[in-house]
Amino acid sequence: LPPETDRRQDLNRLIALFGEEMKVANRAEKREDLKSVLFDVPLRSVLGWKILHDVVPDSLREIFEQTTPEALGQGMRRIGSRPYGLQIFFLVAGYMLTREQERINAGIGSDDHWPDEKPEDVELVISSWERISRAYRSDDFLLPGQAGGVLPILDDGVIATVVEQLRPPSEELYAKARRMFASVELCSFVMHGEQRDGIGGHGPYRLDDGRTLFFKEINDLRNDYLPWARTENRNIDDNLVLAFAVRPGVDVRCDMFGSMLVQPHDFDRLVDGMAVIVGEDDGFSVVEQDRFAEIEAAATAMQQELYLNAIEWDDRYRIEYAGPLYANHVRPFQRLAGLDADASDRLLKRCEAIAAAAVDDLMENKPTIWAHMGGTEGPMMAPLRAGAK
Amino acid sequence: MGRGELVNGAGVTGVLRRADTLEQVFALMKREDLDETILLCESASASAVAPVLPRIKGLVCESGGATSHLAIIGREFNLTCLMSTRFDTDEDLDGATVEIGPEGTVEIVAA
Repeated sequence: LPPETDRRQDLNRLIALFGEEMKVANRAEKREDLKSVLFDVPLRSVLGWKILHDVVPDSLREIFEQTTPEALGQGMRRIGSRPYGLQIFFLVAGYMLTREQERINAGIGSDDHWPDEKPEDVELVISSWERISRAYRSDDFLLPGQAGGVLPILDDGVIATVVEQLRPPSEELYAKARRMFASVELCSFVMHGEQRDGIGGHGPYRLDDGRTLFFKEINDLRNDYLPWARTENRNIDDNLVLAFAVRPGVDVRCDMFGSMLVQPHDFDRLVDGMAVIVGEDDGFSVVEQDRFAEIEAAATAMQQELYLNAIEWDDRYRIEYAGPLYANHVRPFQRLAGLDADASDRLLKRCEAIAAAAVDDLMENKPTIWAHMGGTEGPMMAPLRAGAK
Repeated sequence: MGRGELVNGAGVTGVLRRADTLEQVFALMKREDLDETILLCESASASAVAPVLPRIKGLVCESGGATSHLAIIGREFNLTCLMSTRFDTDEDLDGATVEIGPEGTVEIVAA
């Protein structure tokens, strides 16, 4: 075999880093066991990864005609941002998991060269993830797991501005805010076809006074790109954010899916300050308590409309909806890059076409990638091997 | 009669109602006394029962745990939440008035 090039070694190091963190996170959540009465979550996920595999390299090339990975990452460093961590994750996961399935189908071992490898696409996907992530995060890491479960993205000036808005919540205010947030979260969950898309968080940020600041966020709430999300009942704001300052004793962990886990779950007794805010292009605005009821009511009405629509879907569309669902992960990068609505429409049509063409085969030939993800003792994602350029 | 992992709340009394199928969720959505209902379900997925979660009194789930999505959402709504519940009876509990105790027990108050 020819000697490994330095660049290939770099790429393989990054592939291993991403794959190992995903293996740990995936198995901790037992994601291969996901079940839902409304959606075929395992099959739509595999279909969605294939869609991303097929469209992401071309989409990245189109996006990088307008901007750089660093500018994208910088543009995501704000409250309520979309794209956020989950979209960065999917840039890599969709491409690499489908590549893995195709390697398994072809009987290629993880140490073997794969003749159908497209090394230029692998490099584009992996290097884009690396460069966007470096610009997105405030520290020198690429993944939350490397950094002890933290995801710092905000500048000190923004943090200081938020801290000024924090107030100790009364028990009643805290309960109302949580309830409103849960209603919006349920709406988002149903809107995104039982994917936690849009639901995440960032931090924790250590404050000088010993407190910890963190943000729980929901974005994409007024989506009208997903065909089923063009409902009569609409959320009022496109994102909703809870900012908490807590005393020691609260453990806040972010993961590579953009999600956040806070323990203990009943951390209310340790909350020292809270603010309900909406992220905006140039900052944020505070949501006053007198708006909580209307926000909750709007989210509940939209959620129920989405639910009643979704139960009419047939078995095929409970998988095929991956077309729009995963186009919706690429579109935020297009928008951030300044691409127009035509680009997003073309993307949607292409993803829907891939989904329609692939769904029958997927229903007949169950994919093996979930078993690989759940059980392989080898690498989750095979490295590039010599033979590739 | 039953015991589970209490992940929120300190106990509550209400009427157990099954929500394992879409038809059962539909029927619940139409009930005027939904606010007296304690949901009884097998799956720890929140989306299946999403329309009724904001209006119920508590939930008893036969699977999942504290980090299940249903438990997380249930906590946010401040519902009494019992997860991974096991019953020592084959009796159909749908419609029974039960008390969820602060130790995670479920006892029939009235059938």
